[in-house]
Amino acid sequence: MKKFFFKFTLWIILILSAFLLQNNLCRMIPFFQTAPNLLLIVTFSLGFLRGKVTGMMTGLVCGLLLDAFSGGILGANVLAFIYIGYLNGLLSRILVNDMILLPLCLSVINEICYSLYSYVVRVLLIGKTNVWDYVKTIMLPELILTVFCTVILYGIIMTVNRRLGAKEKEGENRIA
Amino acid sequence: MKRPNDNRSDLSIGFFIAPRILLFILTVCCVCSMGFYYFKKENIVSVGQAAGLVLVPFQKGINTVGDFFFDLEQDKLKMDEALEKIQLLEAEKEDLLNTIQENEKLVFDYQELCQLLELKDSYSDYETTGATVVFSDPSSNWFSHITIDKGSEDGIEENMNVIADGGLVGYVSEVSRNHSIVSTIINDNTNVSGMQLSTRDNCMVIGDFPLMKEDGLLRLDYMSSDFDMTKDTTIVTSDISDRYLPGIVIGYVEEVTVNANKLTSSGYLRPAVDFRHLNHVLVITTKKEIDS
Repeated sequence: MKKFFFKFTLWIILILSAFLLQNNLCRMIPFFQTAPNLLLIVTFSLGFLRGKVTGMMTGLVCGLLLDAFSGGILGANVLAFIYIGYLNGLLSRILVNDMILLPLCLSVINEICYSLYSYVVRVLLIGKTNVWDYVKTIMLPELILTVFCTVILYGIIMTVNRRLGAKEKEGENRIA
Repeated sequence: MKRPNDNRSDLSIGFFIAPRILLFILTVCCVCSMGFYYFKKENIVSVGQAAGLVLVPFQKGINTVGDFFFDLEQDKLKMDEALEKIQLLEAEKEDLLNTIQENEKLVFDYQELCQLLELKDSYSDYETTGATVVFSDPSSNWFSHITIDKGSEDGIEENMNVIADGGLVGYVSEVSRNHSIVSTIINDNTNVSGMQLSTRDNCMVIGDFPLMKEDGLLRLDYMSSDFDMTKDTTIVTSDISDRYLPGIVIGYVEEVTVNANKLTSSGYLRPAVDFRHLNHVLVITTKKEIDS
């Protein structure tokens, strides 16, 4: 039970700090026009490293946070994020986690899917269809920044996960 | 329910519901929520309420730390520079005093003219209350909402107008106990009905996110072809808007062209507010419904 609370606290701290950082990065670094999607990184890495239920729960909390403060449609981000968590959890059974480039590829794929999904939601909501403008001004900068941040954030999450794994003495055999 | 430490096996031992079923339940919830928004244009529940209680204090803390570092940097300005600046400012002050004197006369003229036009409700007469922005750059790159640190406890209500630097920022779209969310006019799904200050020609100010990001402009549309096309003419909120109080400056005309059909024209508008550097805003506590 103690272990559970420890992990739960870690989990909450991770999500909250990612959210607050995502909100403030623009202000801290003036030439950042776009915020990297840190919550997406947290969701897919936890999904990939800790299984689909964790991924789904992380997605739920991250999505709710985003929806609560972006003032958009409640449920739009939640839906996207729980699927990202779940699907990455499924992927972890197929893919082997010893490639360095793997998290980067995952990041690119997830980010593209999320952007396209956001765009579709917008089209349904507002009815604007100028795809190229969105690609140029929102999707591409966000993609580049997110991939860049993946290197750092995924590294941190993976290290913490390894420490936890060493304590648990299990799961090592799965990542063979 | 929220158990982060599911075992890594996909059977998820110790978890009460199978992941697949959980995913299904959550999906249905989300789709219902989105459907509700689609038809009713509002959210089922306000999650912001609970989240705000936890996060707004955090965010305030971060802002304080940020301000602290900013102040430190400011202190580093050397003494010489400061002295030089003082001299420059003195000179500037003289100029400004002259300008003020000239302007005082203009203001007097203006007041007289206003009385003639019975236009006494300039928006300096509206009651306002100040608020600080806690989340300015939204976490999602796809919307532009700002969160302010005043909520229903401070008398903020939905649909109140928000201004800053003498220009329109947006309206309060969601109110919680200790914070509220302001939907800005640069949002993609916002249309503000405006008019030209001098000729009272109506137009529509439409938010366009990519355009805003790239050039810092808004779209102007639905204007008649005889619309005044001079650059820098002021556009204010119109009397016929159902949400915004009349006479608040939205921005200045950047460019207007007549459309191909020769009947309407459209163009671009430079907003009066610097949306990237919003720190303090004023919420107008007078609401449109009461006025009309």
